[in-house]
Amino acid sequence: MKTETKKIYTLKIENINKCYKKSRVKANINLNINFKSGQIIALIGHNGAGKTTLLNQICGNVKPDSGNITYNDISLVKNSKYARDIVATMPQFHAPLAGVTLRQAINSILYIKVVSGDEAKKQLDNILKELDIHQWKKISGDKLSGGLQRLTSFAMTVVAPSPIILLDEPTNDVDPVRRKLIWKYIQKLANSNHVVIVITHNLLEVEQYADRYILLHKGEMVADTVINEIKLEDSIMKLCIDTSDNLDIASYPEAIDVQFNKEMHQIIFKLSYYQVMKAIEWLFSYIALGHVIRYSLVRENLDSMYRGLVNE
Amino acid sequence: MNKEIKKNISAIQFWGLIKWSLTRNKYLIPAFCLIQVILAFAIVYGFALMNPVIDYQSSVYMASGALVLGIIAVGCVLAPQIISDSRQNGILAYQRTLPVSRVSIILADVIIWSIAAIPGIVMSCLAGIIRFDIEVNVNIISIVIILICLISMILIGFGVAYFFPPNATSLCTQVIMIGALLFSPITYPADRLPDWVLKIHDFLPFVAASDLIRASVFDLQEIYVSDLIVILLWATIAFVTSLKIVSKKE
Repeated sequence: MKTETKKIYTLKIENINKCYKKSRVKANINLNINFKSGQIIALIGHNGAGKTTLLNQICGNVKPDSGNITYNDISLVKNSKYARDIVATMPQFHAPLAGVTLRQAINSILYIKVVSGDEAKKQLDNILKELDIHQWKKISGDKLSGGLQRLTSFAMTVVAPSPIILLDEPTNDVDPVRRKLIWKYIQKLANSNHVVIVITHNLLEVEQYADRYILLHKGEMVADTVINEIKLEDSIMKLCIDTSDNLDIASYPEAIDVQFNKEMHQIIFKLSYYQVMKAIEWLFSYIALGHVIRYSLVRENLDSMYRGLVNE
Repeated sequence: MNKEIKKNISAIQFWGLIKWSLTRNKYLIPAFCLIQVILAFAIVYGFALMNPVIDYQSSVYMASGALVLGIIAVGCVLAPQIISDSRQNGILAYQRTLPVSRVSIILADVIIWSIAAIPGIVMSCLAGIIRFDIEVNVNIISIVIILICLISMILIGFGVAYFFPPNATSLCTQVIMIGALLFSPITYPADRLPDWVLKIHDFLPFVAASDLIRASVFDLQEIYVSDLIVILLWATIAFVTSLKIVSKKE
């Protein structure tokens, strides 16, 4: 039996620097990143960290001061036309939808991407179904809710998908059910070997759906992590305990850090992998005494790591 | 990919841009057509009230003036305001991310606004014929001249909209319209204006357009190459300015 191996395409960001002349803000500082096809790569960081600037340089709308961006060994910086042909961008704000229905907006993009006739109808029906938005297909874009406008904008970007897909905060304003549908569709794009880069501030979604995250801070890359490669024994665990009574501080198990919220009767332990067992034993002794209302033990999430990395 | 296929793809994408723009502006375009029809009748009938005696020359000036002012209204007032809006609400930024050339973005809008101006042009001619009983030349030369003037005015309007910020665009279009209505020998003969004003008009496109249309559509005078050069020069400058701004990378 033949096994089909997918060719991996790489979007290379090489020594990219960008400083906006008017504001003199250094938006990107010496960025070197390889974005590989077949992965969902989340680009995270605070507002003004340089995420959107990086996407705008990839799609050819912003010119870097120095450095190069290549795909298939062709420079997207020098060849804007090629960049436009291979990159589809979902803007941070909604795509222009005034005066067009949801269906017309998607159809217009299909037509511009040279998909027409039965194939266009098939692709349109498919995306409407996958995002569960077909009931609004005849509604004018300006009358749609913020979430539906965002979904339309997402659909416009991913129909007849380009090899590189850039999504700037695609799930903002979208309801929880359709957020999952968006991520499912993004996963499908990655599985079909597209380079998928998603800017988001939703770190829970990054943990849940992304294969890798890149953290930008003040224009610099401060973390590039493959999520599945984070080893459990290297993780920090968080034990939260809601108590009915004040527990004896002297008996607390060994921990990296302990926080006590008096008003809420809540204790939060930060534990290393090796401290977890003793802490659990200690917890169960208090459960037996009836002092514990509820507890949770989770791996410290990306949010805490993020705060640590950007010193916030 | 061979050249023929590339050409076909570009043509389909260009048509896609036009279709999208037509759909977006489907309510605006009929409204603009109506405005032009009202403007044409207002000039032909309204301006005629100011002149107790209307000779053949005056009637041709008013009929041709209605046509030219209609073209200026679409090209230099209405179109730039829509383009300015499209810059503000992100349409241009979005179009810049699509797999279409920058020239296509401009040309698609030129075609849309040219189509929007046609009913006004026809109604201006009709109003002139009905009110003054004058003859209108419809031939290849007059049609080409009308198209040159129309496209040039639209490009000038685009140049204004792309070059100036939205508030300044609005002001600039008002100045153009007031200047064209009151201080340009478009609806009246040039000898009524002081020489220095006429000297300025030698370098502006508005009187050149009205001269060309009077000469080709109403046969009142001969076609001057200098007028054509002025118009085409303005159109070129405006197109290059628009293209530079649309293609500009931050």
